[in-house]
Order: sequence, then structure tokens, then C-alpha cells
Amino acid sequence: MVKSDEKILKCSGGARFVHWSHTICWFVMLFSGLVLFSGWFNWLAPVFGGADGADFIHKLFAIFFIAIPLIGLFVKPRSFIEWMKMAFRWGKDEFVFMMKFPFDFIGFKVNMPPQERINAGQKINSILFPLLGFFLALSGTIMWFADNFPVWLVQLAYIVHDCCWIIGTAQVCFHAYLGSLHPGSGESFWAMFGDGKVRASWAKHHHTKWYEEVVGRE
Amino acid sequence: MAKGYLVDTTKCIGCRGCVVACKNWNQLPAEPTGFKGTYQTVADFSGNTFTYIGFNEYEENGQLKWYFTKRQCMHCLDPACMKVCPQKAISIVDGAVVRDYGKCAGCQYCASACPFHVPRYNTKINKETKCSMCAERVAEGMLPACVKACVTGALQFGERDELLAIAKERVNALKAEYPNARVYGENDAGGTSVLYVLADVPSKYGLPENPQVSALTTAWQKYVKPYGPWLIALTAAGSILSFFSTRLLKVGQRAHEEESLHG
Repeated sequence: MVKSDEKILKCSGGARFVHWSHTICWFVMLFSGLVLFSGWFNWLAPVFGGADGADFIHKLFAIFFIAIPLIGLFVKPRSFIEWMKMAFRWGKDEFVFMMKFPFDFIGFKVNMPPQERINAGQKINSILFPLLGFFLALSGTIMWFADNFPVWLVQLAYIVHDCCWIIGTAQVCFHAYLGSLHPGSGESFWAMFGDGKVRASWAKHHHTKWYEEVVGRE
Repeated sequence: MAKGYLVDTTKCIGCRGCVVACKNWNQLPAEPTGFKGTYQTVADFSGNTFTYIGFNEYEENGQLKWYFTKRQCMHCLDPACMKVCPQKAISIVDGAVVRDYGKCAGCQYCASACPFHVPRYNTKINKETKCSMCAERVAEGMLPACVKACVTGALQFGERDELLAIAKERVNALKAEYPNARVYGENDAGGTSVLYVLADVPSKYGLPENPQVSALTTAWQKYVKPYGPWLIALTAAGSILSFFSTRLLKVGQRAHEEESLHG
């Protein structure tokens, strides 16, 4: 039995490293990419030393963007598989959570069904981002080395690349807000941002199934 | 009235003087080429090759026939490359589709948008390159380098409208001997400043029969780019709304009060 102020590990060191290094990559590539996306964002160009510089920075961080998850996958393949297994594990509790979530989002009091280490919304996040990242990397590679691919594939890659970053950045808005300033999320924010640990009492309330698994039923 | 030039393929003897003149004026390095079973030395455009002569060989009535085509940027009247360029680096200067190298970021969007697949990437300078119809020479009252070099009169420079009339007249004269003779570029790809007199169908010259901007490029340019980013604004607005509504309603907040750091 743990005391309510005791802390348990929610985010491993590897997860935190991949999360934050990828966050940096995402934003650097988002802003440098915007310069290459439309003339509307030319005011951002000086930050990167002009449009040329934005192109260079975008490609430079693309290497990190692809390398970081690959390193994570190489070092801890099992924890990635476990993560994905959990993300794809959907039962009644997950669906009820998602149906009730809009009310929680607005600010009404709702009783959520017990959740695992990551809740249903985080599961969607966990599926969406690796998927978008994969297609961004794939389409980006085709765009970078366009001369080596058939023209129709390059044309398709532009659409895929833009759809992925747009959906991804839209999701980043939700993810960033829900993971920090949404009531009740502070604990998990500091877990991801800090030492990876959350208070047991918080875990019991927000991730009941996981709490019971780690701490044991009371 | 805008400038253009006419390529009369029936007058071309494949001397490649225009190719050399282009390299010379634009100060482009020569690229080593190998023998590929044809007299055509330059196989395709490249970051350092803006024009080349296609030696299209056919055996007709037991005779070898060449259908020469001088290939270069077609200088579309409504250029797809100009539309997709995020840096607005491409503009039309008196009929010529010209790239401002100072603005070009080397993103290569124009390369795949072009219905003729003309622009090519130069890795050394990180720019997309193509023929500029020697706009800087024309501005000074000179002929484009290739036109100046042409010895047979296969290349003519002038007002597009006048050239079109010349081309049609020439096609009419050719019709007797070449029933498939036609003008290429009058309406193809929405009309181009570069016009061709062809003795036969375009595909025989390695030119696209029906040059069109791909539906993928159009969908990307017309729908994904202008409307897609609103999705981000939507989720951002939703998050901001939730930030205030959760705090105003306080109901959700009270539910979390015990464990929330923001409670």
C-alpha cells in the first residue's frame, strides 16, 4: 500500500527524451516549413536566415526527426511495442471516455470510466502522432529527393505532407492544452516535463486501472 | 502583346548551335555524356542544361528519319510553376517566365507542377533552374542566345501573335506533304509563348500530346493549401475556449480540485 503523497513512474526516461526532442523538432520544422509553405509566412524567414536558410534548417531537423524515434525504437523496442499495444487496446471504458470527454472539455463534471496508464484520448494521440510522423518522413523524403521518384508520387507527397502537418499541428494544439492547462492535467505535465513521476493519489483518480496494476487493489 | 519564339522543327538540322549558345550565355558548365545508341548527346534537362535537341529517330518507308525538337521551357501564358511557388520567385516578364534566384528557396515545388517537367534542381546552388527566354538580353534589345545562334532560321523571335500567324501559314504549306502538320503551343497547356511548327503528332517529338497540370497539383494548390490550415485555427480556438469555460464553470475544476496542481 502506497501513501497518497508517494510518487509512481508514469513516463520513462526514454519516453521523455523522445517526447521532448521530437517536440523541438516538430516546432522548428513547423516554423521553417511555414516559410516553404506559403509567402504569407515570409516574415518568419529572417529567423532562419532567409527562405534558403529555412529550407536548410527544415532538412537538417528532418534528419533528427527521423533519427530520434529510430534510436528509441532501437534502444527500447519492447517499450515501443508495449506502448502501441496499449494504444490499440480499446474496450467499453475507452469509448465511454471519448463520448463523455466533450463535456469534460467544456467544463462540466463527469464521472469517467477507469483508465489505463494512458487514457482513451492519449491513446488516440499515441496512434496519431507516430502515424503522422511516419507519413511526414516518407513524403518528406520523396520531396527532398524528388528527382529519383516518379512525378505523380512527388505530387502526391506534397498533399500527404501538408495534410499530415496540418492534422498534426491541429492535434498539437489540443495535446499541448490538454496536457498542461486543462484542469487536472498539471500532474501529467510535470511528469513528462520533470522526473516522469506522478502522485499516487492523482494516478488513482485519473488512471485507475494502471494505479491498481502498479500499486495493487486496496 | 508579349514576346515569344517559334521553333520550326521542319527547318531544324540538329546542329545544336543553340544548345552551345545557351550554355555559353548562361555560363553553364558542360556535363559529360555517354553514347546511348543515338546521335542525341544531351539526354534530358538538368540543373545545368536549359535546352537540348531531341533526336527522335523513326524508320519510315525503309528510311531513317529524324524529328528534331529543340526542348526548353515553354513559357506558359498561365504558368503552373508560378502559381505553386511559395516565394513568388517566378514572374512573367514580357512573355518570358522568369525566376528570381534571390527569392528561390530550392523547394522544387515548380518541378513537379510543370506539365512539361522542365525545371530541374541544381544541387550546387540549391535552386531550381530553367530557360528564361534570355529575358535580360531581350530587355537590352538583343535576341535570345539560342535564336541568335540558329543558322537555318528554325528559331524566330518576336511578338507571339505575329509568330502564330507565321506558324499557321507554314503549317498550311506543310499540310500537302505532312498531313499531320500542326502548330503546338497555341492552346496547349493554356497556350505557351514558345510555339512549335510540327510536321507530325507531338508524341513523335517527345512532346506531351495533352499537356496538363496534374489534378493532384491542382487539388493541393486550390484546396489543401488555402483551406487546410484553418483546422489548426479551429483546434487552437477550441483549446482557448475550453481554458476559459472550464474555469468559468468551475464544475470540472472542483471535480479535480483534490489532485490538480492548477486547482
